[in-house]
Amino acid sequence: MSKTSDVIVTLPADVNMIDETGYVWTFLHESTEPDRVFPGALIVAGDPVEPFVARVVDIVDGPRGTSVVHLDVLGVPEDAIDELRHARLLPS
Amino acid sequence: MAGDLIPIEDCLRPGEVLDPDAHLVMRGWPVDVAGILRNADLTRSRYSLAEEPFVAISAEVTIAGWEVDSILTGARLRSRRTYAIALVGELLAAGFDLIPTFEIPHYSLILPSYTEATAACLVEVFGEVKPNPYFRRREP
Repeated sequence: MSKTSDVIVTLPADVNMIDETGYVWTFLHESTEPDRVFPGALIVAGDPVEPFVARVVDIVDGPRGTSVVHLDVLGVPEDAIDELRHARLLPS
Repeated sequence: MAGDLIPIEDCLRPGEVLDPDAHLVMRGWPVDVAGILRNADLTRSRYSLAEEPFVAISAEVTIAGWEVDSILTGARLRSRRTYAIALVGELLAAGFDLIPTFEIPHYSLILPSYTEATAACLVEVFGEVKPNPYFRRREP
């Protein structure tokens, strides 16, 4: 895995934080690359210390003109990388 | 004023009573001052309590059949290398409050103030983070 200082998280989020949907939520404006965040997108979220892989479920209106992103937690990046290597979609 | 924030009162689960000496409060990483303040800031930007911004963080509680293991093996906390845990009574004694919100076993842990000192106190109550034995990945 990359050094923590090298990790770029597409959408900062706290995996503990859920709302009435049962999904993790955060604000879209937390992302420095909001164009990468759209319903169905597979992204790296969390923080550089402990990122996680998530599927963007939806983006809904939040208070004061904000947008709230719901995330389905799929796992940790290491597992995704291992699986892609196993499938020979990434070099070993 | 809370403006168009969502009243957290609309998101409460009724009828749950915590045992301060038995029930445990758990939280996956981040369990540091910066992470706690970040979570609390997001929460107060979306929810209100008594028509004021709701300063709280998310946690899970061992209640109604939920145990440490079943919480740690859930989809969200299984992604955490580390977690922290404290007795409900320890948190209450330190001035924090807990209310049942959203899906069981989620609780909102209320911070008496949005300050680094309050977050540092919470970190101290939680104590040292522990390795999550259920954080696993396949060997390369």
